[in-house]
Amino acid sequence: MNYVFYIAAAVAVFSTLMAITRANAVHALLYMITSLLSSSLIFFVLGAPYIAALQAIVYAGAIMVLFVFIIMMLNQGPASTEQERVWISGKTWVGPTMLCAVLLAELIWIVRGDPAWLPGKTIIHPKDVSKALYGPYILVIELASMLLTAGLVGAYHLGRREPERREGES
Amino acid sequence: MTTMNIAYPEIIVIATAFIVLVADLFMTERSRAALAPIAALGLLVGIAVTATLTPVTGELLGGRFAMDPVAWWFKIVFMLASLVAVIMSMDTLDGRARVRPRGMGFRGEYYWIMLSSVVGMMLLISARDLVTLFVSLEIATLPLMVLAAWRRDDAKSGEAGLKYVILGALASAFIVYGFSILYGLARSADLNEIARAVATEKSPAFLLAVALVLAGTGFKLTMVPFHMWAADVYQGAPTPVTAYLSVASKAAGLAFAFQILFRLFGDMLPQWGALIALFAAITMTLGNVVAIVQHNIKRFMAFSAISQAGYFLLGFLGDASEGVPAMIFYLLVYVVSNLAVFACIVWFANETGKEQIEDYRGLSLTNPLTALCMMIGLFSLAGIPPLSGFVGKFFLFSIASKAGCHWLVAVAAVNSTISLYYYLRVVRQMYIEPADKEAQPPSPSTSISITVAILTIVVSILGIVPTIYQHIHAATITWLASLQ
Amino acid sequence: MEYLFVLAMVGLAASMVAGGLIVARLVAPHKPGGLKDIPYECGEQPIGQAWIQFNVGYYLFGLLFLVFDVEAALMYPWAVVFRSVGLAGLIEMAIFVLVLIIGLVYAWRKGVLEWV
Repeated sequence: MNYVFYIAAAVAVFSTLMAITRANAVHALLYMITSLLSSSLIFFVLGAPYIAALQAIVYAGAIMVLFVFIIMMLNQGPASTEQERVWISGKTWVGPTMLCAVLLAELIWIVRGDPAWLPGKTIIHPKDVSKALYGPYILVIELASMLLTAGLVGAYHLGRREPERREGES
Repeated sequence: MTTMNIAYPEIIVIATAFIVLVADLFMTERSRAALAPIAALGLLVGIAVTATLTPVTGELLGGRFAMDPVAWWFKIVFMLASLVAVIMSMDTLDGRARVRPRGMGFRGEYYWIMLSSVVGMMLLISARDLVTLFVSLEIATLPLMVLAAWRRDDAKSGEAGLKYVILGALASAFIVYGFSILYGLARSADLNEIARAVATEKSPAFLLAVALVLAGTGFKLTMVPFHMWAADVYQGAPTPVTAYLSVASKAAGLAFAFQILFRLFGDMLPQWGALIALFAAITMTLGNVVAIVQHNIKRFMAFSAISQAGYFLLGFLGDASEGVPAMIFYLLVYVVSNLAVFACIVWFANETGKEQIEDYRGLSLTNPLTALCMMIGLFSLAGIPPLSGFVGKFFLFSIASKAGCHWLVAVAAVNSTISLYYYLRVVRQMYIEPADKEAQPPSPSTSISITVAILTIVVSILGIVPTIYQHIHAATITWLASLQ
Repeated sequence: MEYLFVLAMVGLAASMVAGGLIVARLVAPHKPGGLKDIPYECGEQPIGQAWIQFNVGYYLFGLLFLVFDVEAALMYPWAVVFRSVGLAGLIEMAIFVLVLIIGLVYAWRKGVLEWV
């Protein structure tokens, strides 16, 4: 049943390739979401449901930030009208949607039976992950909180508004 | 199992970082001048506690956090580097500098970010599994990226931050990809267990993992051809940050290289001699040759730092019982010498706002003592006897010679001569060229003057007093024994 | 078979969406008009393009969200083993949350949460 994994991997590779070759940032983002979802599915197939869920949860947030960030950062010109027209036409949705459909089909294929036949030799239950994280790897958890706070402060510094001065704002 | 006290250095630095961050929230802009002394005090206490730590060997959390004599030295160097960086930043951030670059405020955030990166570096050398190693590497480098872009209004600073983020993220991706393959091969995240499991591994996957991890390590060490980020980041970052980057990120890179090359691939290291020798030769040559044509002193120091990375690599050749103490000793020497030079650069930029080498002309007339200190620092970097830089380089060169790489010693000697030439360019500007008549002579700053004086004394005596090297050597022997 | 619940959930979610659309198609009167094709912006008349430079504040909010999103994601495993890790786990989690609360307090005090 390894082919489930290979299809998901192929989708991941293809959508990543598409993501980095798209000229339109929003299209690239759509492919990137597909790529992330397919890697989530790969985790699931390999017997790590918790990581699969984490991938979907965290990247849903990360992608949103990225989305806002990219739209904010992009230089908007007269081309944007043309871009938008193509965007709304719905044609660009076909690619990601089809890839997502493949993933969905795979997911249904997997869950319809007993997951014991999955390529992963053992299923890593969320409980196992938790025992490792809150046992021997507790340092990593605390470090993660430190990293997040440092990132928060750093991002706030770089993104802060300065009311007294408007010009030259990067 | 040992007691908690081996984690005290980290706990103290983390506590200081949080005190700074929280104190900043409840302070007026005026009283925020107290933040730098708080940070400096915390680091001083950290150094003192580390220095008096007994025993220096032990592990916590089931061996996932370990202290050993080599880690002890690295932690001292990290805290020392950041202590000096905090003192250097004070004048600019507190507004005492004559030329205050725009956007250099926000002291609470600044010291918090700097201290978090120290925490990451300190944990980096204490990590004993891939996950902790990677997360601490990220804590060490992410703040440096923010610091490089600290002056958000400055296009150069922004460019520095962006380049550092993109290339740093790429390097991190390489490392984590390599780690994941290693984990798959060894079925363990523990560094020592991986080392045992991959000792006889020859599969293509393993080679890919090695290549990826080494490329990432090379990036952190600014090893050619992974050095591209250094020059722009060093030039664009605010000057005190450049000073911190040039020593702390290099020390962290060396710590990471220790973890990778000695702990993870220790059994294979002897076979990689030719490769490391090649990288060392390219790194020092390119750094030196490009440094000759630089006019901006920060960019100049960036290429100087790249060439110094080449000298460090010599220590990975040959017998580890000689290479490790030589590298740690040279790291100490490099950190102190580079900080001495950078303290002068920071002070000069604070006073005049200039950072071209030509701007230093006549400094020996207006500020003879500072010029002398800067000259001693530069000469130590060039490796002129009897300064500590000479002793450090001598140890490293002799290792390469003992390892049978005589051509490499020749290359390194030629490079030292080249480096002397370009370090002398700065000295020439300070001592031979006449001073600019119209320019207001820079006035000394108390904090930086004291720092420069202490650092210069250390630079001068580090090579003469043998106890430090003896201590490092003794520490290494026990460390190497523990690796087996 | 434990993942059949997931399958049932997927089916339910899909049928909710499809059902809504089908019922609307059957029940609602079909009167297309130009005004109806305008993007919905809270009842306001849409002005200009959607591709404009957004306020940097959105980015900060997004990032704040992301930080606490990751925090929440790391809290799930703790909830799973809440009983077995006991008091030690509680203290560990308390430190973890405390560090992030400091981050939140920081953002609050510095006015990140204020929308100017």
